[in-house]
Amino acid sequence: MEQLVKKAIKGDGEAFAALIQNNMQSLYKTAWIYLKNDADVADAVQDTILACFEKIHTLQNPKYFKTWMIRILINKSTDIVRKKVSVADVGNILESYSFEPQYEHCEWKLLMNALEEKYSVVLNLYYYDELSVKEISKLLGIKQNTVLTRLRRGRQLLRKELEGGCAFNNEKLVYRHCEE
Amino acid sequence: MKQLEEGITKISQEVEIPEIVMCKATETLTMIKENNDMKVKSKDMNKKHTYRTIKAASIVAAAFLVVGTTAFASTKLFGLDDYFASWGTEIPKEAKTLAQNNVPQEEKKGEKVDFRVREYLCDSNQMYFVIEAKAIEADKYLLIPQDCSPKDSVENLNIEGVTEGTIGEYAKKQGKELLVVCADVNTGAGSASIDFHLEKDGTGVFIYTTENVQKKKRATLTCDTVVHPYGINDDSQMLRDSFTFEVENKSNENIYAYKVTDAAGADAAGIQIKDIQILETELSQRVEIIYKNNKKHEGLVLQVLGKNGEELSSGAAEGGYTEMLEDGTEQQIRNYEKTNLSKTLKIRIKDVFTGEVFGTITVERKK
Repeated sequence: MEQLVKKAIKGDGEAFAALIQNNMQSLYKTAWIYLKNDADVADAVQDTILACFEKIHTLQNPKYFKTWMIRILINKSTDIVRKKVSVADVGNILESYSFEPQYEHCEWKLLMNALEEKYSVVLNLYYYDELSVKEISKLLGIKQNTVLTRLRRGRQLLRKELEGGCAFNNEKLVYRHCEE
Repeated sequence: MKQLEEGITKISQEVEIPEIVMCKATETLTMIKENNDMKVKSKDMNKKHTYRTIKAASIVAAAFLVVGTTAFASTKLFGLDDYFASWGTEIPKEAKTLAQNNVPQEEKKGEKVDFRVREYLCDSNQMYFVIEAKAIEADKYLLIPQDCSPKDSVENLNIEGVTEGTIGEYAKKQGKELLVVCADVNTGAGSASIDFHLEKDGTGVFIYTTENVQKKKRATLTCDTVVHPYGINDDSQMLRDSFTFEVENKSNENIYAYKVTDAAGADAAGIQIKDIQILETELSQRVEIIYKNNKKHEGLVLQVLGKNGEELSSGAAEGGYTEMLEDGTEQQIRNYEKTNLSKTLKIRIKDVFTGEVFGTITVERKK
């Protein structure tokens, strides 16, 4: 991957495209945890691709491309959430986060929804993206101990959800957004 | 426990990415691949205007003409002096002769906008181009760069004395339609910064700054241009063209090698300095440091300090970058504006991600 990053830093569009394609799962999953809506995820991913291409020359070390890209994605995703909050009333926000047609068929989405965002993000970065505690700590701007706590607590909640079958209760998602 | 393992397995598995996401991503990547020299600023994004450029599709051959200065000598036009001044600096006296405003270039008549290179400045480190865009119907169109929208503040256009209102309001007041213009020079560099100024008579001026990667004494460069009405995304309605122009690098360069005399800061950072060299021209100084990053710090920067203990100013120069070399060492390149460097320098080692300053090293010019 480092070779591709180096080429991309030098302006190679093909290499950059390959990098993004190799990381599409990470981009999609991370954005979805924040946005829970595929249309918004598509926007966040697009914004991230453009921002990464525009800023890749500022990347100090090619080996940190992935964490750097995910950081940009998280910023883009939270921007989208912020904009929605600023222009919509609560009813609209809930409507915008309504379930999508195939939502109930994706176990990953159901699991991620069953957990609070702070836990689902850490679990996903750790188990799917295989980032280290240190990398997650830097990426999210939280202490390593906090990452470890969230991983532990996230696992506990995950087990609870799976044992109780709550993860598959759609009402819980709506309730969680109401709280937020 | 088994359920937890299953849950973790589910988290670790790939999911099906919906078509809407894949389509948008593919569309964006296709655009990047086709126009693989989108340019960005690497400096203060708020202070200066920045936008992406789209590469022109074709190059049409035409005869070279030397365009003299007389055509635009009657009024004060935005030039490199103004650009350097906007960065709080000026072109060093000895580098003034490097600036050329009599640029041999292909003269082409545009359909809606005429483009030409007004001025350039080139040394072995950096290249600066001033490219002007003149609407043929200047009373009909207000030229704006690619990422501006009518809702943006008119300040984005850098029109002298105009600060109030939006671009849309300004265009309305002037009774003009918005026409998007962009100009992009193919220099082979990975990135460039582009500023935009709109002169009082409606001429758009791009100031294009990039690293001189080819280091040739003479080069023929291509400037790709795109013009389209604001809000048009249909490629067939975009007027794409290009023209070529010639540049000459008349700078004299000196290369100085430095050796480390006090490595305390490097030891604290866990890095091993392998080589330090400074390429100095009349215009700028390019510092190249090769080091082994034993502790794999992510945001390591090595800043050359001036007499006041602060990092030397990069002025109007394009910033720096770090790259990994084949042998696993890292090379950091930083460009600074011209200053009288002493034979002994202090370099601060810092991790910009964590903000940790490891200390300084002292280096001395080799004889």
